[in-house]
Amino acid sequence: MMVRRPALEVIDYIRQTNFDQLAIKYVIYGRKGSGKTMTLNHIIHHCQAAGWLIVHIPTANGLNLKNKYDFIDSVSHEGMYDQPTSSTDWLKQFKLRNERFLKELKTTEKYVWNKRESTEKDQPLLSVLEQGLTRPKNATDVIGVLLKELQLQSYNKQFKMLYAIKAVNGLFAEETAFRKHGGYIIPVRELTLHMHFRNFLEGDWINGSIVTTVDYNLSYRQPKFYYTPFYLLGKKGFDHMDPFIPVFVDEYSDKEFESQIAYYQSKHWIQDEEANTEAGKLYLKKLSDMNPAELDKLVSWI
Amino acid sequence: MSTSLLKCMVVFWCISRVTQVRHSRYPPTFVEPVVKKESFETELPFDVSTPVKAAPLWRTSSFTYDPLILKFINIIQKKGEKDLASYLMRKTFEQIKLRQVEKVNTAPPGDLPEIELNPKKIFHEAIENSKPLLGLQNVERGGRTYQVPTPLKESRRRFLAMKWLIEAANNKEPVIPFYQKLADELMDAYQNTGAVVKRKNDLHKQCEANRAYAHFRWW
Repeated sequence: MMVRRPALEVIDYIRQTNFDQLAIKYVIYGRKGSGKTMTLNHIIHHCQAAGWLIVHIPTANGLNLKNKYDFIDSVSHEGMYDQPTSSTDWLKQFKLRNERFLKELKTTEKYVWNKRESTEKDQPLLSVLEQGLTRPKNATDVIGVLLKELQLQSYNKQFKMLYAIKAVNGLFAEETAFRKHGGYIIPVRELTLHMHFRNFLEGDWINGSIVTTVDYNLSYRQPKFYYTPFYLLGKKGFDHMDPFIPVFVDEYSDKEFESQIAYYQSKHWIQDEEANTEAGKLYLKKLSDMNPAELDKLVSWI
Repeated sequence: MSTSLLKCMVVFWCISRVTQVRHSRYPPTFVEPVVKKESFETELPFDVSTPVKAAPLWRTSSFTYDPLILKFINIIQKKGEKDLASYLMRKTFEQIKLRQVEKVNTAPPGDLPEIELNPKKIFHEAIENSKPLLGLQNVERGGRTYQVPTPLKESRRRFLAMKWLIEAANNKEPVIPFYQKLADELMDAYQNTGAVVKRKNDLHKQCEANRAYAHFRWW
């Protein structure tokens, strides 16, 4: 498996970070299919192996698009909307990743969910999470509580934390695919789930890092012409994210291309005799324009 | 004549006579083009006065070019959605390759059985195994219709094989993606088993049973 230069660069930065300061933001950007998500995955893997707590949004763009009948009037915030299904899905993967931290960490105050149910002070955070899984109506509020607790308790320096988001521009988008009965399209600013994630992205916590990508894949009614952070995040999102370290993911270099082809060949993935010759390699190189996703698409069926 | 034009003519160097006679937009003196890089070196010198047809748009000199696969894509295609049809074909090949590579990777070390990994070869073999030798033709005699066994043209045999494979895939469960079902059928036909080979054998049996009507064949 090849770990490419942008991933190594960010991992190197993370190793040399002074964790007494506020969390540093990284924005990974690049052309379509150039390996932004793979870079992010390598960084997540590095942090997971180092025993970090991982807060991961698999695709923020997809939150505006998928489960489009999944919204209810918000329990805690008037005039806003909760997303029970998306929230419970997110809580499940969060629990799977970080169960050992959630058992150790305790709540700092009492949370009242409704007339009968509440979580006392000094209970493990896992009991808060279980509330979200058993009562999907509270799931979005549970995410808000969890993120708030993590933010407060990061100052105790008990754990290190990685906040990883794919396609962070989805949190700063305008429109969603959620349409109410009368024809009203719910904007992103009225969704509590996005609000909680945006607030956590402000980065007023320490002992961790924020690694994000910007991506126009799966974005809903957003411009899809260019790939740079300012263009995709917009003025509002850029100001929210500022300051950050941009990391550019380029297409394969000659050496990377060779090593990727060698990897495919070692896995018996390129079967055509002519494709394995020098002329065939040159053909693949020219046709894919050294783009990793295009190369994968070409190689998949020969 | 300039050298660049000469080189262009070399690429479209003739190989055979014209096949299509009626409705051809070229006079019979025109010859088929050949798209081959090696012809620059091997087939020189040539007669520059020979008129050559224009090369078709889809003809390339690369290893991805395969007339049989292009034909199969055209038969899968519905409502002119060729992009979708080619996507399904690519996914089918990927599925076949995935399954065969998995067999190699999970086999115990040491005695590795002979496993064909090239999806293109499996596809060609599957089509060859699905082709029927004989077909039935309806002939009306004395108010009754008889099914007369008849040899088929090569193009008809190829078409039937492809049509049967696609129909067999479509008859399976609708929840499974089409490319997985087609990969199933192609793998079955490659091993000379499955619904398509059975359909071919049934047709052969029917031809054998209708042997008595063979004298109705006048063509």
